[in-house]
Amino acid sequence: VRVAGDPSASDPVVYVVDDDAAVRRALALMIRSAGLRVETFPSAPAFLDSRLADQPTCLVLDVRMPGSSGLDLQDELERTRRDIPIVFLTGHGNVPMSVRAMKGGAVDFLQKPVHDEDLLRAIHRALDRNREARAERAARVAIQQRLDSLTPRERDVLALMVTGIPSKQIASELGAAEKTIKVHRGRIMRKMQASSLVDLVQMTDKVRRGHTSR
Amino acid sequence: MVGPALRWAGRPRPGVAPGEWSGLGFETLLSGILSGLINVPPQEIESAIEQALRRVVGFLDFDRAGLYLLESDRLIRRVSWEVEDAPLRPPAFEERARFPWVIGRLQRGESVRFSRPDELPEEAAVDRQSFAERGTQSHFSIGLRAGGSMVGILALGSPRPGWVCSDELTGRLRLLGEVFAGALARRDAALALDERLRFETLVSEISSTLINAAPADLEPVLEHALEAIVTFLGLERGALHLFVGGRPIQRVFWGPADGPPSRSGLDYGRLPWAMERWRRGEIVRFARLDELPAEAGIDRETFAERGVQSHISIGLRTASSMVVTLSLSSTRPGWACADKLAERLRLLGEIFAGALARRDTARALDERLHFETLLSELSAAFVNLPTAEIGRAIEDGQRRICEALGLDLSTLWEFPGDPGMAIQIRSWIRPGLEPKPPTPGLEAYPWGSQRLRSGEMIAYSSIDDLPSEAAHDKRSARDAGIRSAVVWPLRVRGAVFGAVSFAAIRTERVWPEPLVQGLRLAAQVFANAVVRTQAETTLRESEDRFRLMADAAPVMMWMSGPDGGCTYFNQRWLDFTGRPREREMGTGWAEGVHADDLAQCLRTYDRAFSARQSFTMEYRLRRFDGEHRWVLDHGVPRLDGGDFKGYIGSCVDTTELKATQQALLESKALASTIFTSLYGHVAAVDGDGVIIAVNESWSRFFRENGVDSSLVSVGANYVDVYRAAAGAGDAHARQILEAVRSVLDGGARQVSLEYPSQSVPALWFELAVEPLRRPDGGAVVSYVDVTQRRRAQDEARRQRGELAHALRVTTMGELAGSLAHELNQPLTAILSYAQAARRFLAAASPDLEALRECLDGVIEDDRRAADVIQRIRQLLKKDAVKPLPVNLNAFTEDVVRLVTSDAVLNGVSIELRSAPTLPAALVDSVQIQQVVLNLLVNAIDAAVIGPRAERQVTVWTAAVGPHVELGVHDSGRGIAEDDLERIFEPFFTTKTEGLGMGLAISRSIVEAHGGRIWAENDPSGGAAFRVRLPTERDGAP
Repeated sequence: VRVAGDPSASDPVVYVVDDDAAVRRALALMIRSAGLRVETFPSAPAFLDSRLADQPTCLVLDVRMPGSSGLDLQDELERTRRDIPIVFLTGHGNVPMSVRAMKGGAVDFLQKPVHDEDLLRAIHRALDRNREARAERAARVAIQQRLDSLTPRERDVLALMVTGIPSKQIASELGAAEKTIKVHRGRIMRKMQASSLVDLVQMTDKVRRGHTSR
Repeated sequence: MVGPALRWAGRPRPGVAPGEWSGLGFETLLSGILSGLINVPPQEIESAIEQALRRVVGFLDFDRAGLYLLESDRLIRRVSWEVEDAPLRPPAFEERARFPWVIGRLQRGESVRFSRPDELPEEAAVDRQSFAERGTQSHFSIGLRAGGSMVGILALGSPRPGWVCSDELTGRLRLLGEVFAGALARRDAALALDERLRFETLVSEISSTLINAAPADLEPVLEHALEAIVTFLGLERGALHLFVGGRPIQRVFWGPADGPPSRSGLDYGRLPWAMERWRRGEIVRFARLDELPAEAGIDRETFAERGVQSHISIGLRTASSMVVTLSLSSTRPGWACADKLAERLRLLGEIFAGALARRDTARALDERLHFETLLSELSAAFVNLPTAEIGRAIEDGQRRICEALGLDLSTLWEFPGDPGMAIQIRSWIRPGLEPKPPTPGLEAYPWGSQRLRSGEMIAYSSIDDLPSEAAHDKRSARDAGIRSAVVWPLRVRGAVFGAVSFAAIRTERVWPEPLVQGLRLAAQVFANAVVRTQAETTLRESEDRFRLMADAAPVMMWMSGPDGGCTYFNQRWLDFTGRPREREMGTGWAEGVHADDLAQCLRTYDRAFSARQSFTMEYRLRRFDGEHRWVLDHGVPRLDGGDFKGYIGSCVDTTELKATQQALLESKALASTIFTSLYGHVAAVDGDGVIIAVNESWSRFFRENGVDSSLVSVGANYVDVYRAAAGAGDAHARQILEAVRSVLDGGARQVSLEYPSQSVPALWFELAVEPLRRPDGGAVVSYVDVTQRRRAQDEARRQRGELAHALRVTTMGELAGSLAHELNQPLTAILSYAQAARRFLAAASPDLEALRECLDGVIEDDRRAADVIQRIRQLLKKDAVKPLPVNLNAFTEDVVRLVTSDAVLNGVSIELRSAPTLPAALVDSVQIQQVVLNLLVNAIDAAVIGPRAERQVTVWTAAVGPHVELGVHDSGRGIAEDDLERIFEPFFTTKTEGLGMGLAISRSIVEAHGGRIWAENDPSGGAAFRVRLPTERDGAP
């Protein structure tokens, strides 16, 4: 079910998953009243089957649902590396449940009936977190694209450059003339749009970190 | 219908097809009996079991049944039933020795069954004989076991041969017997608790009555207490005895008015063995006479003579020579007193003994005071009498002394010059008690005479106390009917010239030292009088004579002239005041009288003087050491041939006596033995709440509880202490404060309240506040530990609730969680709708469509919440509703909703497949709801075993012919083929926390509706339970 909001593509979207139709509808109206776009789903599988918008998003998720519980959905999203911040709602939450949810990266764990301000504050925090993650990812993708534009030789030179050794030593390592290495360096700096060696090192670090952290 | 039918070769009854003997029928009976037993209150359990036995006997075509329980190695028949015209005697396993083989087997948990006695093996010859005597031809018995040992026997019998019991039936009967035994044990525990509760209440009541019982009311109070105990314990007699030196001195008794001649009491001389034990503070008890040991032969005879068959008596030592016993007896054998009860009885006995001791102390004090006053009066009277009247006055003195002391006989002898002869000169005997032979002279008492002549006195409480060389004296005393006596020699200036005796005829009595000394003074008074008659019969009264008399008198004496001025004081007076005679003369004596008493003293003296009457007054007189002492002054006019010559008076120092007598009332003496012997923790406070006395137990109690002793000892203000605690918010302190204040203010005659201590575990106390009866007011505050009583109350209450709770907790607990969840959902929706509406309204141009949507949502979910609440009400309604037409689909939906949240938590999904059209089921919806709920909870539990994705429960409804059917299928492992029927048996459970009653109750409910419930395994996996219910179209499926 899609609840119409402002259809602007860059606007954030809040997903609500709850098996209770009335709760679903009421939460959607409340979130919409705060000027946010909302999409609702009656179950975890329904949500997993849908295509998520390429915008800042977050998930408001009921813990207790028939079939697959909210915590199961959290596990599944983690497993399939779908990065979406979750705000949990629960009828009567207990400590082990909330610990598990928060360990799994949940933004908040709220008790039903939920106060609008609490929920909206949590939603905004979740969206902010998602926005940052998206920006980070976008930056990483841009650097990767620049890396991809390097020739194999340039990539070899880059790998040695970021370890901080001088051109002369790179030349001897790669069995090339120092002058040739210097030409490579200039091209690499241009292609990577790096302003300095430090800038270049940071870029490659960011990409490497992005790979290992996931 | 699956389920293994029970097979046994029952003797076909005429006109009954063997098919009706199906296991199903018996199962139905069993399930009905068991579910029936659950709701039976403890006191009805025995009759419920009897009813059940009747049904079982009837169903199996036996003739009788008996349930025996093993109680301390004895088999007691607790419940039995037999057909009315049963021509045989009961199985009587009570006589264990007659069934050695059978009971041996039953003890191993085996059963014994035979369809004719000759089936019994050779080694069971004794048993066979016993069965034959009872006319038993067919028999079945089974040993009921609990915790690995036999607790009882269930036995069935018939005078007809040929009854055969199958293994299956044996199993069922074992179950039945064990349930019966369990129910009886539960009942016994409940009743024992009730009894303990009532007993503890009784103990509390008795102790609080006795705390403040006035000495004069004590006997009726004790008698009433004995009656309460005897009645409570179902006995017939109760008695309290006070023994001094092994002799019964006093007795409080309660027994039936028309009972055996017991009021005369046991002959305690004939209970040597028991007396020895009492003296050591031990207990004597027996449930039948033959339990007394061989060395108690005499005691046994005595008890038997009195018709005592069961008995307990407790020796309570109150002082070295004084023993109090509390004894309770029955003329029927078999009453055994448990240790716990004996312990409580000892406590009661100690309370009784304390009260008796207190009363005796108070009485002795009264008696002494009375006696001392009497002596003072006598002294004065004798001095003043004309010689001719002295003989009569001595007799009068003897009478008054005997009456004051409860004695019966007093004789005064004079020894003439010849030591072998004594002349009896004066004697008084209580009217109505004529001496058997004329009271013998002293010559009848050779041993006594000898002693008296040598100046020694004689005192005996019992004739047996006299030494063996006094054999003649003993005989004479017995002949005269004398039981106890004190005899003092009469002396004048050191020479013995006679003796005076004081004796008891009706009872033996003890002679405490102060009493013996008092009688010595009396003897001295008499001696002086006698000397006067002898020496001065012809002489006129003279000052010298008075002086001679008065200086020999054992009391202080004075004499005044006709003008009122004092003319004489004896040596004792002068020794007392320490002043020369000249200073006392005239009105000089008044200088020694305490200023506060002088006016009253002179007024009394003047008034008596002008009326020429005798007077008695009390005032404080300064002693030589400066201390003011209370003296009791008795004055009589001196008349000489009608001429008024003035007054003569005698005084005694009563300071000590007064102080002791005031012990119960006055602060100084409240610390006396009387006060300390009070039961409980007791303090006395004055009118302002200042503690003026506490007993030992009070100090110890607060010390042990770590209370600052300065807050609760003498001198502290009790009211202030509690006012401070109440001010600090202590609710109990406020109650206590109010209680004490209401008594101190004179508004309440007595207040008591119960409250817990702050210690862990909490002790319970009953606080009683009573006014302190004295002019300055005040109160007696006592705490009695009633923890035992509270504990018994709590236990009884808890046990009553436990069973009912156990039946409900499984379903109700789940229910509560599920309903909370259900209610939370609409509340969540309503809140969100309302908050959304508020936000929409805050916009510059409110979205009216969205607003309407919000409000519609609020209304809808409010209705939903109301529905939930309505359903809770329905569920919690206790009253059984009569069968009414019910839409099974809607009904099932409701029940499913109740367990949805649990299913969700357990990852089980519930599918509901409702038949499109159904005839209305004719059911009691509250009861059937329990059944369906139970099936659903079981199904969820079964499904949880499987992998998460496959956890599934399906509920369906269907019309089957004229009936309706409800099915619950689970994705669990299914049920072992052998168990498909057994699962409906009570206490059959596979769950660790299950009671095993759910399905049994379900079956009885469904069958009570005329429906059926059964279980089957699904070939494709899991199990299904099916409930077939009647409809309006058809009475029974």
